[in-house]
Amino acid sequence: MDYIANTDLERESMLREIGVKKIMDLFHDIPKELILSTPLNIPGPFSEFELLSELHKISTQNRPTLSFLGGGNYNHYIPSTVKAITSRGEFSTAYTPYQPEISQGTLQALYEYQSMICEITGMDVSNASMYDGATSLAEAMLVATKIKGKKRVLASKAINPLYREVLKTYANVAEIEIREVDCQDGLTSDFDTEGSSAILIQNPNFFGLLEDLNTIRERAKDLLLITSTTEPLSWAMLQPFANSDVDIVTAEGQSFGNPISFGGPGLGIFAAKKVYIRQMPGRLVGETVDIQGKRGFVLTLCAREQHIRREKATSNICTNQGLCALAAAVYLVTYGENLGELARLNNQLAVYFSEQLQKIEGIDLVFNAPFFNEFIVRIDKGILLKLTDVEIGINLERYYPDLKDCYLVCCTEMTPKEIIDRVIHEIGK
Amino acid sequence: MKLVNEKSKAGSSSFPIKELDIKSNIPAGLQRTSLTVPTLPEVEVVRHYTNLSKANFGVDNGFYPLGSCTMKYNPKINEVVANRPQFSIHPLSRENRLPLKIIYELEKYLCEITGMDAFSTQPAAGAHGELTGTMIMKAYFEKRGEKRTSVIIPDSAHGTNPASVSLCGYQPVQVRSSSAGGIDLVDLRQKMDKTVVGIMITNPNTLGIFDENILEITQIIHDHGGLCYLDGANMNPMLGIVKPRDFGIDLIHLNLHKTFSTPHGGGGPGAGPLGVIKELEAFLPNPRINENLEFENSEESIGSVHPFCGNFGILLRAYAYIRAIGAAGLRKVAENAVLNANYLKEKLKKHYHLQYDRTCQHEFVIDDSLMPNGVTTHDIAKRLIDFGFHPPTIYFPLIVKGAMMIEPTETETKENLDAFIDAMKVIKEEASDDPQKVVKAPLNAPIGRLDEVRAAREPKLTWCRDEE
Ligand SMILES: Cc1ncc(COP(=O)(O)O)c(C=O)c1O
Repeated sequence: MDYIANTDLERESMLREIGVKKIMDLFHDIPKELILSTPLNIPGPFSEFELLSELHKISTQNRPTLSFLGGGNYNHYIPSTVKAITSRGEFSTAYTPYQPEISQGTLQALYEYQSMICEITGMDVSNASMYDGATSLAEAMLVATKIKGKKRVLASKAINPLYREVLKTYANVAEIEIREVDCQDGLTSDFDTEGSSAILIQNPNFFGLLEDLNTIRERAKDLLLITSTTEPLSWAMLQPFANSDVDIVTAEGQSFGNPISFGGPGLGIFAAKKVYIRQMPGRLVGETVDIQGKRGFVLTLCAREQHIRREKATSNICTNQGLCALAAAVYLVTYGENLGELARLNNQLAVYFSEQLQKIEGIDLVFNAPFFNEFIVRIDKGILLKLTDVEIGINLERYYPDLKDCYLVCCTEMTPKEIIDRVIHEIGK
Repeated sequence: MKLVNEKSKAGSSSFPIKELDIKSNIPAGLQRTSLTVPTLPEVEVVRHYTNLSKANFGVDNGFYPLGSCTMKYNPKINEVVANRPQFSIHPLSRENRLPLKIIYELEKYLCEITGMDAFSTQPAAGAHGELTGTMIMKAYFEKRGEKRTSVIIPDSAHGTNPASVSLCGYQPVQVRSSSAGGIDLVDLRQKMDKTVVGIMITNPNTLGIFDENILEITQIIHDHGGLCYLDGANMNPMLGIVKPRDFGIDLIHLNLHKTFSTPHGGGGPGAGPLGVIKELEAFLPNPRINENLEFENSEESIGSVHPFCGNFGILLRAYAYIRAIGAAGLRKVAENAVLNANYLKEKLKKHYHLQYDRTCQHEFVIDDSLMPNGVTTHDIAKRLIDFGFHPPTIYFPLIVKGAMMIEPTETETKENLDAFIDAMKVIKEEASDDPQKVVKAPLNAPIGRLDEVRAAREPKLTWCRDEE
């Protein structure tokens, strides 16, 4: 199989027009000794049918399990509208809308996405996407140190440990010091703000718990307050971040209409107060008019970006996660205002599951603070052995040695009450 | 067209949720009291976005010769493969062998294609690969106890190159292009010394020229103990023809969303896997995947730049593409991409100025210097829209004034190339006979020419409720 469109005859006539005898004459700038004389060692070609049957064959090795895994990647139902729209070639096979006159579809959809993110978070501006939640948080950290001029930030230990790894990697080359703030009872404890540019808090935090953002804001008076969220469905139920005077909101938006897909592609959400517009990374879509005065949309404030500002750009990002932002927009509009109910349902299921689990001897709830749709339980090893077909949660010991035998359990609308009851029944057997 | 926010109608969602009769554990004070999300019945949701899509242009609509972006056809089988429910799997699931096997195999294919020893699929796009690669170069010199402070970057480079190295605290040092369009060796020799990390080079470069001095260039860098990073965004014309490792490359990122046919998504997502030589392998991001298909960490790793294996959904598409066309198909890609580009170039240079008049690889750059009546590249681009084409990349690379960078790719038919050539000819004629037509273009696009200056002067980035 190949996707070459020309015939041998056409190729010959093109070579004639160019004035060379054979295609390889067009590669004469490459030093001769470098030209490969043997084919690459790559399997194929395979027909579509062969490709699919091969996948089918190896897929049976994957045993289906019942999963309560979350911790940054969430199994939510995706309404059929989402794929129907994102698989339209007009959207999916276009690139960055550099030519606005034939990119109004992408541009308007992104403008609407930016508007929805702002409405839900209460922030003033949102960009058109970053790679994912972790890099979005890392870029916020870079922005904060540039704004405040101090090369140190505070980061709660209740931030997703994998995100903290990414933060460290970015901080290391940018020569930023990250001071980790300890947790008490699963919540970020007190901290010393001296000499720091920002404090980074995840909410709901990695343990699923809700942080007291208002108190943190008060303590961190002169610092930028930057939040990270891995489960933005919680936003539909919680006070908007703007109410706690958050400066920069970052998140992983996978929950909004994007499949788990083994960790990517996701959607980096980045929203901020208006005063930081010119320090923001990423594409921004703005409203304008055409020569007839008709409303239209364009990429704007490009003087922040690498293609104009090069080494002085606010970020190096170019390709982003545009189609994932479109998926998020379609997802949000499809649920509309019912998103609040969906969030409450997720919360109710988690409350229910945690209550049922606690009734079982050998299972304890580890922290008592309110949570959204994730919570931590300590489970006796004997009980775990019964759960052969269930992945009950993320084993936390690898990230927090203190949390031995502890699991982060996540509920969504995909783990309805009947499934929870079944699991409880199995454990009780 | 009306915004979805303006069409919103409370109570109209087709997606009701049945809550449970369970009391929330969240205190009322932490809960929000109202939520506004635009709300439409399902049929109106679908119509809204379908109508928006009609105001968009993708590869599926027509010829999209956006230089440096490799807008080739995106095979539909890739989507079928990527959408299989078996891949909608949590990265920490113990049932993870299938995705790990695919990533592991893909890494091997990419090694074979480029000649590198190891790949990491973690970077989410090309620029992310550049950043990761620069981090690795930094870790390498730190380990050796060498203090190096800058990276050489040609003046024809993409903007992400200097932006990426400066994120790592390095000063980009510009090296001049020669009059032939390659790197000026005299300038390079002058700028390379032991304080320089190495070079971030694009080859074939953004003019579409394969630098015939490439072996000498990498030798100069290596002679001073430096490293050679290849911006592999332009891998397409080298598939099965030449391996970057063989011309002295130590690190390379590939843009799977260009060379390996994954759709560009209106801006993304893409994938920018990074390949390195053996000596640098230990620095690759954590986690790696070992031959037993387990995650594995290296002590010397720079850390992570993404929580797991990067944009797996994109990796899957590239994997399907490589297997679908095989080794012979990959080589055909390169050959036909170069054939199509040279054909277009030879035809267009009769009408437009071609600053570097020589054989090209995947793309070439013409400009507006021969245009009458002050008609500019910007005008030509907008007029092309009227003829049903996506315009080329314009005003880049910066070393050609009024640049139009044209990359047809291998999947375009001769008929389409000829139609494009005809349109460019007509535009040239119009520029002298009826310039208003060109200057006012587009005349039959979904919208007229947009005022970008106004958008930047008074930024309006969100819809506000009081607009109703
Ligand atoms: C030559 C070149 N280098 C680097 C990049 C950056 O890649 P990405 O947009 O995937 O970050 C691009 C494309 O945008 C490019 O054309």
